[in-house]
Amino acid sequence: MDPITLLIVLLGACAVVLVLLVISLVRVLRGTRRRDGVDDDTAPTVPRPR
Amino acid sequence: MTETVAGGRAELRARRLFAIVAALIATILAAFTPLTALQRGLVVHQSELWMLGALALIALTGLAAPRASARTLRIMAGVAVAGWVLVQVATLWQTAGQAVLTPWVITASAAAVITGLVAGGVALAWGVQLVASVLVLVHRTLLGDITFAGWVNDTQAMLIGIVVAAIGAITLASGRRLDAATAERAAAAAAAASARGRLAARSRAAAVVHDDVLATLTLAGSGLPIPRDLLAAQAARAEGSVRELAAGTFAPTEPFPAELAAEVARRDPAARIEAAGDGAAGLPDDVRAALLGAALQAVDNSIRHAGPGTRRHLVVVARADAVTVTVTDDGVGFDPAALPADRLGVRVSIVERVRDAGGVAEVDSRPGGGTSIRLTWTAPPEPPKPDTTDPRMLRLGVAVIAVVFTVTQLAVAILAVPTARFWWVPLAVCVGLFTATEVLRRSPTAVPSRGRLAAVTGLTLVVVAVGAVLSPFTYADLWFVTTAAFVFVAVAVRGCLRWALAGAAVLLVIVVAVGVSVGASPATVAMSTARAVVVVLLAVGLTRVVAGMQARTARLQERAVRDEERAAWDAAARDELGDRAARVAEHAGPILRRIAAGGELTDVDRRAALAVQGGLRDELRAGRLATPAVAEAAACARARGVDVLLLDDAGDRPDLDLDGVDAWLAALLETARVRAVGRLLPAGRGATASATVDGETTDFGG
Repeated sequence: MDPITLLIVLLGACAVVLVLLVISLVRVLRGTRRRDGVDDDTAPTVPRPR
Repeated sequence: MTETVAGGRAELRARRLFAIVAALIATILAAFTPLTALQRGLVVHQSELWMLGALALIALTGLAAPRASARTLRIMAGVAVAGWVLVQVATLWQTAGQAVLTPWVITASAAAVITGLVAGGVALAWGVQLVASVLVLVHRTLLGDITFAGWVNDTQAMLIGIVVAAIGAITLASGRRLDAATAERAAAAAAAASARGRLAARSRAAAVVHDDVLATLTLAGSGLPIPRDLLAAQAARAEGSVRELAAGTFAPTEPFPAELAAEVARRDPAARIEAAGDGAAGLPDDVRAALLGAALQAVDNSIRHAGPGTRRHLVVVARADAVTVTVTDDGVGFDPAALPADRLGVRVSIVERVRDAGGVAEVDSRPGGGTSIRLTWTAPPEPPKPDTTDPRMLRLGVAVIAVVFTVTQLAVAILAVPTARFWWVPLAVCVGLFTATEVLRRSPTAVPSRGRLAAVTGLTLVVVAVGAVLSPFTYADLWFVTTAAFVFVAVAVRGCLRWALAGAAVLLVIVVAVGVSVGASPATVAMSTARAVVVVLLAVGLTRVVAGMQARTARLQERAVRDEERAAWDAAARDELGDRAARVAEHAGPILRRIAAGGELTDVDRRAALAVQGGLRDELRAGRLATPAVAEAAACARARGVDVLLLDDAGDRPDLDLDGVDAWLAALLETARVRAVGRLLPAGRGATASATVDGETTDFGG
C-alpha cells in the first residue's frame, strides 16, 4: 500500500473511532440500559426477594 | 431467588468513563503519528506502527466500555496496558544503538496511565507512569538523546499522567463510597418501609374488622329487630371486605384528592368538598391508604352519630411534601374525653391508623358544637447526602502530585539556568509558581475563596509574564508556561472551572503577545502554549464530566432507593394483610356466611356471633391481657352468653408487673354471668389491673 493511501486509511479509521467513542461517552454519561430495558442505574441495589 | 448486582454502579460508570477518555486520547495520539510521519517525508518507524497497535487496544477497550461488565472491562484494560508496556520495551530494544530520535508518541503516557487506572486502580496507574518515565529515560540515555527540551517534555508528560490518574482515582473512590452508602441506605430504607408496611396493614385490617365485621356481628348478636335481608346483605359485604383484604390491593389509580372526594360524595352527596394543592402525586401508598381510610371513617361516624340534617364539609390540601384533610360537621358533637373505652371508631380507625402511617389526627368536638377532625401528614426530612469524597485518597493524591511537581519543576528550573538570559529568572519563576500552589493548597475550604483565587491567578500570570519577557522565546526556555497551567489544573480540580479557564486564556494571550512582540515563529508559539492549553482543557472537561456524572448517578441511586422502599413496603404490607385476613376469615368466616345465608338466627347463632365479635375485639384492644389462659376463660364465658370486654390501657407504664394477672382474671371470668370487663390500668392508678364482674369491681396489684 502506498504511504499516502496508508495515511488516509489511518486517519479515516481514527475519525470513525473518535465518532464512536464520543457516542459511547454520551451513552455512559446519560446512563445505560440493560437488555431487558431496565435503566442500569436504577435496577435494585440490594437483594430483593422474588 | 434474589436479584442482585455485583460491584457498584457509580464505580462501574466511572471506570467506563475513564476507559473512554483513555481511548479518546489514544485515538488522537494515533491520528498524530502519521501526521508527524508526513512532516518527516512519510518515514514511519516500525516502533510507531507497534505503538499504533497498542493504542488500538486502548481504543478498543473504550469502545467496549459502555456494554462491558466490570470484570470484562478490567481484563480488556489489563491486556491493553500490558500491550503498551511491551511495545515500549520492544521500541527500546529495536532502536537501541540506532541514530534515530526518540519517537514522541512513546513519551505520551496519559492514555496508558488511565487504562492502568481502569484495570487495577490508582496503584497500577502510577506504576504504569513510573515504568513509562523510566523507560523513556533509559531510551534517551541509550540514544544519547538527553536534551533540556526532552527533559521538559518528559516531565510534563509524566505530570499529566499523574494528575489524570489522581483525578480518576478520586472519582473511583467516590463511586465506591457512593455505592456503599446507597446499598446501606437502601437496606435501611427497605427495613423501615417493611415495618411501616406491616403497621399500615395492621391498621387497615383493624379498620376493616371494626368498620364491617364487628358492626355486623354486634347487630347479629344484639337480638334487635333488624330486617333479616338487610343484615344478610351487610354480612355478605363484610365477608367481601375480608376477602378484599386478603387480596391486598394498594395500587391507587387516581390522584388522592379526587379519590377521596369521590368516596365522600358517594357517602354524602350533599357534602361540601374543597380541594387545593398539586395532588400529592408522590404520596407514599401507606400514608395515602391511612389518610383515605381515616377520613372516610370520620365521614361515616358523622353520618351515623351527628344526627339528621347535619351539614358536612371536607377540605383537602394535598402537596408533595404535606397533606391536610379536615372533615367538619355541625352535628350534635361529643366529648372526646368521655368516649367509652370500647368505642374503637375514633381510636383505632382514625387516630391510630394515621399515627401508624407517620401522621397526626386531631379530634375537636364538644356536645352540641359539631365535630372537626383534622388529619395531617408531613413528609419526613430528606436524609443528609453522604459525603462520598474519600479524604485519605484525596490527601494521598495531592501529596504525590505535590512531591512530583516540586521535584521535577525545580529540576527543570535548574537545568534552564545555563540557557537563561538572566540566571536567576528560572529560579525566581519556580519560586513564584510554588508560592501560588502553596497559597491554593492552604485554602481552609475545599472551594477556595474569591480573594484566594484572585491571588493565585494573579501571581501565576504575573510570574509567567515576567518570565516570558526575560527568557529566550523557545519551547524549552518557556517550560514554565506548562508549569503555570498545572496551577490552573489544581484550581479546576477544586471545582473553580471558570477561574481555571479564564486563567488559561489570559496565560495564552500573554505568551502569544510576548511571542509576537519578539518576532517568534508561529510554530514556536504554538509548541510553547499547546500543552498548557490542552492540560487545562482536559482537567476542566474531566472535572465537569465527573461532577455531572456523579450528580446524575446520585439522583438515579436515590430513585433506586425509593423504588426499593416502595417494593419492601408493598411486600411487607401484602404479607401482613394476608396473615391478618386469613385469621379474621378463619374466626369470623363461618358465622358471617351463616348470617349472609338468610333465615332466622337462633340463640346459638347469636351467641356464636357475640363470641367471635368478642375474640376479634380482643385482638384489637386486649393487648397484653390476651394470654392463652384469659383468652380461653373469655371464650368460655362468651359461650355462656356473658358480654366480656378486655382492655389494655397500660400503654408504656414503667411499673407494669403482669405476673399473676392472667390467672387472677381467668378465675374471675369463670364466675361471670352477665358482663365482665378486665382492664390493665394506666400509670398513676396504683393497681395493675381491675376487673368488674356483674357490677362488682376488684383490683389486682399495686
